[in-house]
Amino acid sequence: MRGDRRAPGLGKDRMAKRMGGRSLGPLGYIIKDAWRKRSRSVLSLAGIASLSFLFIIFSSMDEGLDRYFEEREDDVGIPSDEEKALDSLRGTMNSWNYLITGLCLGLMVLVVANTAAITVIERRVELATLKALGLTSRQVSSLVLGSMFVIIYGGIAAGTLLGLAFVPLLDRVEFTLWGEGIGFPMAIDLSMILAALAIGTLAGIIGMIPPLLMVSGPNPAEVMKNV
Amino acid sequence: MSEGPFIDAVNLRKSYKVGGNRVKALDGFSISLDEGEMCALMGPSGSGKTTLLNIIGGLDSADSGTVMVGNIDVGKLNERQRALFRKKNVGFIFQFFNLIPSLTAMENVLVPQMFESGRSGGRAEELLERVGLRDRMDHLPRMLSGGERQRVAIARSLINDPKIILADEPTGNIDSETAKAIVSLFKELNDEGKTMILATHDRLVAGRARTMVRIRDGRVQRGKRPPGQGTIHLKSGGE
Repeated sequence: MRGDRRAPGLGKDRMAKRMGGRSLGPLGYIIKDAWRKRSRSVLSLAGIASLSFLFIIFSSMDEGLDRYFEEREDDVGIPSDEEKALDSLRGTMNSWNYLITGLCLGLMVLVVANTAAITVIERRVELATLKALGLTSRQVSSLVLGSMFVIIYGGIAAGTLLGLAFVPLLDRVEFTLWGEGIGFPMAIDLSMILAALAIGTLAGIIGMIPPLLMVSGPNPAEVMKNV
Repeated sequence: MSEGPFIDAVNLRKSYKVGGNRVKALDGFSISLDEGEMCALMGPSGSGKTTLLNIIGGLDSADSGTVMVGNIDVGKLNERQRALFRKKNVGFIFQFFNLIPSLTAMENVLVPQMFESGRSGGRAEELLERVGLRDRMDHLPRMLSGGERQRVAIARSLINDPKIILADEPTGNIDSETAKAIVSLFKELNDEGKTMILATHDRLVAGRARTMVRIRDGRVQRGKRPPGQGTIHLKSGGE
């Protein structure tokens, strides 16, 4: 077409272009969307990964102490100073367990809600366009939800793997506790990973409620009128 | 083809709240169009052109009045049914193209079929070839010119083979040479039987339409159709 100038190809678009295909499904859209907003995706993912890491480390300390004392249930000998210190710490850890779990959940909800809300506000025209093109509110919501769950589960996977890698290292470290040098018993259990996934899922569900209401709320014509 | 007008909008009223005031976008607007019609809506900004397109396309609802498309009363559809109505029957073309920046031209064309199980790139490829973008189908929107982006948007509007094309200022953001090619493409589509309503300021676009309606303050100011080409039913004013 004459008079139709073509913009030159841009180097930074090469990766996105390479990801292009001859078909487009919801998953492809979600992945490309996460890639487009990669700096924010990585930041949110890092936030969730840190919380998962914290949760795994704390849970493995708690689990390690429980196992340590379970193994000594039949030991009726007078406890050493190290055992006394660990026993005292065990009580504290058990009461902190709920606090740390709640804290991880609360902070994850904040990360998810904040990231999703920014995404929905920034992309309100794009989401309205999807509706104009015939996608239902539910389908558009599932795309937004999918994008967030990629970040949530990506973050949990990263944080959990990092945590699992650190646990054996921390197990060898000797701490000084109440003047006593002690080796801190740590243990890994499958239930920790499942709990991390459950916390992430719950955070995703709670954190996504306000953004999803924002997606289903406005009339697409109203949104596009203000472009 | 159904008997009677294909699109029949009767006494449409729509107002928006702007600041503290209510602004009438449509004030008793009525129009009837036959299937395969090509109608240009002209009028100043804020005259109600976009609102009318949105109401006919099921993207917005009127405060009062009815819109029948085929045998469907668009105003009575719920939100989900409206989405399906748009998907099956309406192709939207926007002034600012509204392409998804992270998707290639090909993928943008496929967006309306994203959730369909039997989706295939075959038709999208055909459509991109038709609009002259076969060699650009793997390019992202930012790598395309304005005219190319609009042609991708046109291909996207055709992916579900809709009966109606609603274009809101389709040449408002492209140069005049490209606009001519876009208008020729619209004419081709109309010749194939697509019912087209084009909201425009562009006389070039309006000149190619068989029917031209001027809107002002949400009312029909003037309707025109060349003699011997059927009838247009325009009712100004309302009740």
